[in-house]
Amino acid sequence: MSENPVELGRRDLLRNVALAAAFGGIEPAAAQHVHQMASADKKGGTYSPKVFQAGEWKSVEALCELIVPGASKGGAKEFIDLLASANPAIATAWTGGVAWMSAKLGKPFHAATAAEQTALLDKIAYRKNDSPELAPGIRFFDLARRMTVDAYYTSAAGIAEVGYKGNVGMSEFKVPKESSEYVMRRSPLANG
Amino acid sequence: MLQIQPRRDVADVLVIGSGAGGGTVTHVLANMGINVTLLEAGPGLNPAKDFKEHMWPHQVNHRGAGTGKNYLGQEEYAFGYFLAPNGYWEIEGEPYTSAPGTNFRWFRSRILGGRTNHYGRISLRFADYDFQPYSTDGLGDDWPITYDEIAPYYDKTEAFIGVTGTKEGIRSAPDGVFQKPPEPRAHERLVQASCSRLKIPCIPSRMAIITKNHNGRAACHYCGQCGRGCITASNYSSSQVQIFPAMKTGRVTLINNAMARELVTDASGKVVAVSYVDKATREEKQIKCRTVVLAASACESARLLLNSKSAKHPNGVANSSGVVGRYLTDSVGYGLQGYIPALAGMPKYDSDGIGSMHVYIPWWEWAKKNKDFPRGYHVEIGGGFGMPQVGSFHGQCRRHEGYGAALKKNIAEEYGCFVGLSGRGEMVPNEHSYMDIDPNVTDRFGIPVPRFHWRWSEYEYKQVKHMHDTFTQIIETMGGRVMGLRNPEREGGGISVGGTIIHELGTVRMGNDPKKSALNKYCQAHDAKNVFVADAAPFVSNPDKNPTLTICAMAWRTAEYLAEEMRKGNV
Repeated sequence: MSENPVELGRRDLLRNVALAAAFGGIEPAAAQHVHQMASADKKGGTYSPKVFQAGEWKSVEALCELIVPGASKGGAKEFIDLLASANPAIATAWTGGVAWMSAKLGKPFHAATAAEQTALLDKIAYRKNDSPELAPGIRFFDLARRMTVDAYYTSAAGIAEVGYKGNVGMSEFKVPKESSEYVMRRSPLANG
Repeated sequence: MLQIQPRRDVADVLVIGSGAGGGTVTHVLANMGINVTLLEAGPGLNPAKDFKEHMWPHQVNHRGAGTGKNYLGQEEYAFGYFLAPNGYWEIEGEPYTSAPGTNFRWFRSRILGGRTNHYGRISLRFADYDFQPYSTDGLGDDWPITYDEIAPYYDKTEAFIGVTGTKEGIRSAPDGVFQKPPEPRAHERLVQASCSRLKIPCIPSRMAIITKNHNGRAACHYCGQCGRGCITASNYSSSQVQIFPAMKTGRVTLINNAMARELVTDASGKVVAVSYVDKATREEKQIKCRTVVLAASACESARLLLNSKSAKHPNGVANSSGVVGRYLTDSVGYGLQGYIPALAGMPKYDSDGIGSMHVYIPWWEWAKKNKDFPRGYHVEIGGGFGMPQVGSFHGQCRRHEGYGAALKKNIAEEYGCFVGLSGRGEMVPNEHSYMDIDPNVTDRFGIPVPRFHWRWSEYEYKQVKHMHDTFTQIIETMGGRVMGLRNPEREGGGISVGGTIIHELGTVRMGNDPKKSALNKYCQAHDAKNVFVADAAPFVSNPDKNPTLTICAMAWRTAEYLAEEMRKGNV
């Protein structure tokens, strides 16, 4: 896990606890627990893959970056390795998928040129290309895409990118007028 | 040989189960000065440690994906990793069985507070006509009580737990004692406008969430995470709102990890004790009691009664009528999602609000005569800029495919552009839907398990068709497109699988005739006067309103009656 998202999350969590405390009602034990949890989460350092070999690890990273640019920043390959270590079916799908791509390219996926990589992805990223020849790649890519998207969009970078503004306390719930009016104006119900 | 360890003391009131019903009974009796012993089949709850409120997905390495079963088309959690301890439809070592052709799933929540730790907080009163379904349309049976008899207990419950809402004067959605609701979100205003065009009511929702400080509980801070459990107890859960405060009276003895086996009767047939398994040690224990209140959830309470057979109660306690286990129903569920172009590009804002919807659609055709199905449904509304979670953008992956910048653009553009409509309708009890005890199977404690029998009828399939047509109209009237292919008649893909809405009830029904019902109008067993039921098992019908508020109101009434009967020396 890269340092930044976790650090940001920790700060936000502590701020939320402070907010909840300010609104009253939070018990000291709760605050204490959250502090402990956040500091445990902060530990880490360099991640050593549990499942992937060195070459596979580079290919996983390259694939994730192609699926979602910035995926490394979002901790995608670590997320995938962790789940593969917890679930043999996911491990098989990933080591098998990476090997299938490398076999297609005649060289490790990470060692192929960008043009070679995208030429392959342009085939396996779409169901319409389904054929006996490409089926294993298409199945694998469907899984790889969902896992990479999940890793990135649950990271601080991805959450910021879609513009989620919540998970903070507020004393009164308010909808900005510009948002409500924007929606009504663009709807077929604009005139009541 | 089993070592039976009898406890010396006799419990005045022994309550089995600590959810909405058991929590209410415990709270009411403890505050009346009566000692309560509370058995809970699960562990205790420590909100400070057990709730994951305010956590970001990236604060756990697996982001909420657990072991990744969801990527393989399997289920790992009932409602996601971040929810409050909530249980599941399958529990290791605690099986249930289904008759051939039956598709029914039984949710159990083994934790102090039961399902109230995670539930949706939707708090709807039943309407006056809901208590007289037979008199209204000739189907099912009437309740032995009227709306006017339960109304004072709705008042007390709402005043105590805190419920949002507005006075609307709609017959299908009786007004109550309300706290000020939050304003509608942007997409909810649009749904309201669409409904207004279609002459369908869409009103502020009634949720067990406090918007001002109340009984030492802090007002909601609008993080939208009620389901995760609320550290500030700003929503109702029996654990935080009733049981913890009741324990401070010193009159509550809580026994956790106590799995009830059976009610023990003496030679005269009177219940004198309850035997249970201490799950920590797997020792068999027994606790003597003067009265017992079953609040273990509808099917668990029925199971306990059916498993309590003796010479005086050959069919089980409270079952001389043979109705225990019959009349099992669940809410009818159906959902549809729409992509709403008017929402695209909206200036983003924090739409978390209170957990779940700020407005909902109460049933509006109660007076219509020529519908092709009986009863009705309410509609729950989803949407907004939710916290991204594992799975949030799988729809974009499937529909748009591709990768790279194009995929990111599709995800960013469609974020917050969807509205979901979920119908929750009334099922009419039928002879094919019930539970009994499987003669061949026991759980890991040696307790015989329920066997379910289940079938939706034409009434429910037609109701779901009505939901589908109505939701399509609402979505299209606001310029939206219905997403996905739905077949209302396909279980799981359309109409819900029985039990999955988790409103299962009716299995120990109340009534005035001891030949046709197990309990009297105070939920006291006709044939065992010191036995009461305080969950949703006594319900005679399953109206299109979530059952929790009515469980609380009925349990409150039963607790007061029980206290009075104790005072008079009748039990």
